[in-house]
Amino acid sequence: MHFLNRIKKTTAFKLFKRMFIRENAIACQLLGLCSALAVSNTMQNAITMGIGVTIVTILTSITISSMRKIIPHEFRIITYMIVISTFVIFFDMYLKSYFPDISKALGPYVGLIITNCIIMGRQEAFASQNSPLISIVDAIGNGLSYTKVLIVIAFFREFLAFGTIFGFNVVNKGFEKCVVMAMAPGAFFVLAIYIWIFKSIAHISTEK
Amino acid sequence: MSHLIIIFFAAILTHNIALTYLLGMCPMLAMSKNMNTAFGMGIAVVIVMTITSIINWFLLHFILTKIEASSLSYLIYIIVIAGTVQLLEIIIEKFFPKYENSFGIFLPLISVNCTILAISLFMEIRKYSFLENMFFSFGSGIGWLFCIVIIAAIREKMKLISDVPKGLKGAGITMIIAGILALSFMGFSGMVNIQ
Amino acid sequence: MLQKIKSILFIVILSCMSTIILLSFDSKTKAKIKANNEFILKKTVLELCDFKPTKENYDALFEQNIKRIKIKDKDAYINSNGNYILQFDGIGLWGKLKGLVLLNKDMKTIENICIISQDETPGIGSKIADDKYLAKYKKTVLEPELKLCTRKKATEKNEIDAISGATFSSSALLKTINNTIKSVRG
Repeated sequence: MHFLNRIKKTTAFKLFKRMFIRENAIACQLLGLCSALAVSNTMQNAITMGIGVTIVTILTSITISSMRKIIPHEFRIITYMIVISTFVIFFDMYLKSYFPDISKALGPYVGLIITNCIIMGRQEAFASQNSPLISIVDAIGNGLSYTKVLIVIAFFREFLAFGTIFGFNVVNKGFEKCVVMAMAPGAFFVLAIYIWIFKSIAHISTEK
Repeated sequence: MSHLIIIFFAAILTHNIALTYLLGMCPMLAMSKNMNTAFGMGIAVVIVMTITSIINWFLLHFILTKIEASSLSYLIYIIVIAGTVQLLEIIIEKFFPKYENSFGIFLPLISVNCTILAISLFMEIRKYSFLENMFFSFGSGIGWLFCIVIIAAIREKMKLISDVPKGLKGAGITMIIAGILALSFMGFSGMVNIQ
Repeated sequence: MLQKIKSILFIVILSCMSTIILLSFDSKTKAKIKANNEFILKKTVLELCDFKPTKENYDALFEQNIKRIKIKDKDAYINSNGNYILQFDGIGLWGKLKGLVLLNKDMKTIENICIISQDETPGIGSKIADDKYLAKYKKTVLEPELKLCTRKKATEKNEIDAISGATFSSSALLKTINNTIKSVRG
């Protein structure tokens, strides 16, 4: 118990908590929306994408953070993009050759992970100015908070559109499936409601 | 010729890159607050999209396939996009300084726009010829411009007459506008038939 | 000036390093990826003909029961019943659509279909690869060609239901199959 309390007081944990709960990448910073809208239609995709983004963010943060002293200022965005693409393509090739089944699941997401603004945003805001170890915590916090939002949105979209949760049918024949929820408009609406609820809760908690 | 016109209109209406493929949302939310910025951003996207897709087409057909390195296409496209944006910034600064404020500031945001990369990837997968690619990328850019301008127009109007709940202000209401827009654009499907 | 040159040099070196890493890894894994794809192709051809191949016996089963042929310069296969297996390569909404179709000897009836790879919208478009949807293609007749039904339920022998919410992907699959079979029927 004492050990856990000590962990809670460290900067790392405080940073993780802040990133995971409060400064939520999607609802607060409004980053990573493209992929949040496109892949949050089923829970399986949400988790796959979330894990992919988290892993790439961690690796990129470590690399950029170690290189932060030598990256030229004008070309920092290009640098982030080159590093991110290299990791993502490398992973894609690795999966295609050794785990082709997982690669099939990840296939369409490869492009989306590369241009995901969250990864780039974290490099710009944090990794380029802090040491590698703490950047890892930041990366994990953001990656997991992104995954969390994706899973919540996917839960509603999958349930309303197909009547399934994680692929398992949970409704009977009388349930009127609203397939539009799995398509573009549904993504927008569910995300809007999520932002609404999140902001209202944040507003209430800050007004206290 | 009619094939090209079909590709152009499909890119705007039935396969709209923002409302069907859900790409390019981050800048759309950020830049749709008023008509001027929205229009500037949209024009910048059209220009960058068309130029980069043409450059990427040449790179794909004359270099990447010759040396059989099509696995590198992602990386090459990204470098081309970043480089084009940088070059455009310099050109605008030097030769068209009066435009620098109206859309020069959007250029850095475009290099991280997923739409530009996606257009080049679609061009590669669908094996478009040079003319098809030009009509496709220009059309997609115009489609994105349409979308952001419509959203900006609605938002400007809403600022004057609507009473948006606090939690929805900004991002939330923009998402709902985009959602209704996406629903209405779905009505175009079946109008043009590509491939 | 020197600063600008140093910056550009950094980017060039970084790009070169990335390219070298990716290209070398690519050449290392090319053979394995090709072998994987061969395995998936042979396994799918066998499964299409109702065999149950395993990792050990798929090659032997393939050699015994399937013959490679060329129809109008296209790769195809014949199984021991004389039915044709064609490979179709098309473009879906997001990416490539690859699969195999088992045709009757008269090349008019589809016995079975399997999708090898697709990049459609995960969750809806990707349902075109589900066995449940592909079963709709069984015993359809290409007279004169397959038709997609979006507004009503499929009734004729050459009509296929579209997946609601995935009209583009369903239509892409249908068109690809039509075009492939048309190109070999001549």
